[in-house]
Amino acid sequence: MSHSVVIFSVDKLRGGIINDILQRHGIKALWAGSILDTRDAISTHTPTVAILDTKDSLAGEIDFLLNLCRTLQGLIFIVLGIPSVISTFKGPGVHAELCLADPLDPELIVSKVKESLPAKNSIKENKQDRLENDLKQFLKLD
Amino acid sequence: MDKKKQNVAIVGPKGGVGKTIISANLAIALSKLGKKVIVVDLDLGASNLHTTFGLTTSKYTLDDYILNKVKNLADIVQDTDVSNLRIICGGDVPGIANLHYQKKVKLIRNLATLESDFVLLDLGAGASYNVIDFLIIAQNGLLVTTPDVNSLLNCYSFIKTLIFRRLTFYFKRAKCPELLELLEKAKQTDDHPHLKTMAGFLQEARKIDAAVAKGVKKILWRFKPIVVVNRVQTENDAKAGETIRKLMRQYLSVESSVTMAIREDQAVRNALAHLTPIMLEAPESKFCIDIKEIALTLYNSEAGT
Repeated sequence: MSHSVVIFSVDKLRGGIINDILQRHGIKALWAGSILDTRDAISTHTPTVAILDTKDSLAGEIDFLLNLCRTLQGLIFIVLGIPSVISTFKGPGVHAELCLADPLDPELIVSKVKESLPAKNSIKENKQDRLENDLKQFLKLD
Repeated sequence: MDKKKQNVAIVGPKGGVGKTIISANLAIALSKLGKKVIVVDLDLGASNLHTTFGLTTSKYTLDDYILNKVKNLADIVQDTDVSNLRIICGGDVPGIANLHYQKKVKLIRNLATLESDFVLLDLGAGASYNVIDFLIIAQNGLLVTTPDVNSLLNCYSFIKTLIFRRLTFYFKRAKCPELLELLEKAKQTDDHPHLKTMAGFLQEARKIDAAVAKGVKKILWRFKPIVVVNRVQTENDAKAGETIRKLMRQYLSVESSVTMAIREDQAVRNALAHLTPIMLEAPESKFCIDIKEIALTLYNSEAGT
């Protein structure tokens, strides 16, 4: 099963909260608790969005994430953590409005993810339009 | 009127959409929030709410009330193993599904006298007047559908039938036969395309009686159904309710509907096999998390927030 979002967080609770709320909004997400798992998940699922929770990450992990952001094209990053850490993230998929300082705000993350899934949203819109048109036709509303 | 009490009619216009499972578990979720709840099996002729609670026998059922074996509806309310939650088990005597109008009115009046914070009415499938009239008396309607086109079609048609039924009562009470006639025309949209939308209907209705037409807007404004899309598997499924909501707004002028989703969950099937409500067996399952969200919505609306 392909996932739209991959979440990296060494904090099981925070990762679980983000994963759960995304699932509840119908967004397929996958939480990875380690750098290796994150790399594998991105490689396997080619997600549209990667959420990088830097809280409690070690310096080596942060370095890996910084490198990921600098080198990966076509992936949008949502970076979470304390301001002094998240401000160091740069790269083609890193945008200031997607660097969210603590405290963790799951609803805000969901809204940012939704904004960042334009391609998928457009497919979704098409499916919605089709459903709406089908219903209108059957209900003789047009 | 007692502001604290809330009647919630749970309807599945298409059968097999999970209405009874939702009723049972929503009742438990509300009771866990500290509210006194009575759940009533009004799926007349096809009652099975008691089985979801694992109740194999019941001292009284709705049959006893319908057949005048007991005087008051309150006498057939039974305790369950869940604190704060009581149940009225359904009846299955032949003919109960076609309840006589007077019996129905009596039952509706008695339902209003039950002492509880919430009375959940688990209604039958379809869009018969039996079902619709029970929903009209409840302050809240929970319309359960699945993301399938067939189920969504039934859901929309049910809402339209409900509104037309409500307006029929209103025009009769207002002694306005011309508007009743207009309503009949609005049912035949091929012949009267300008009445296809409620906005078009209201435009014509104002020409007949502006004051009564204004009342129609009030009725529609007060109608706040909650559309629950059950068995959601994809993001697109979750949005099916939004499509119905959009059609309701566009064609029926229903502005205040709410849509919610319940995710597909294998744990539901497991709990059913054990004849145990999933809210007791797996309270942290996806299904239960979504049910709790609906319970909170009702709880907050009861609290007036």
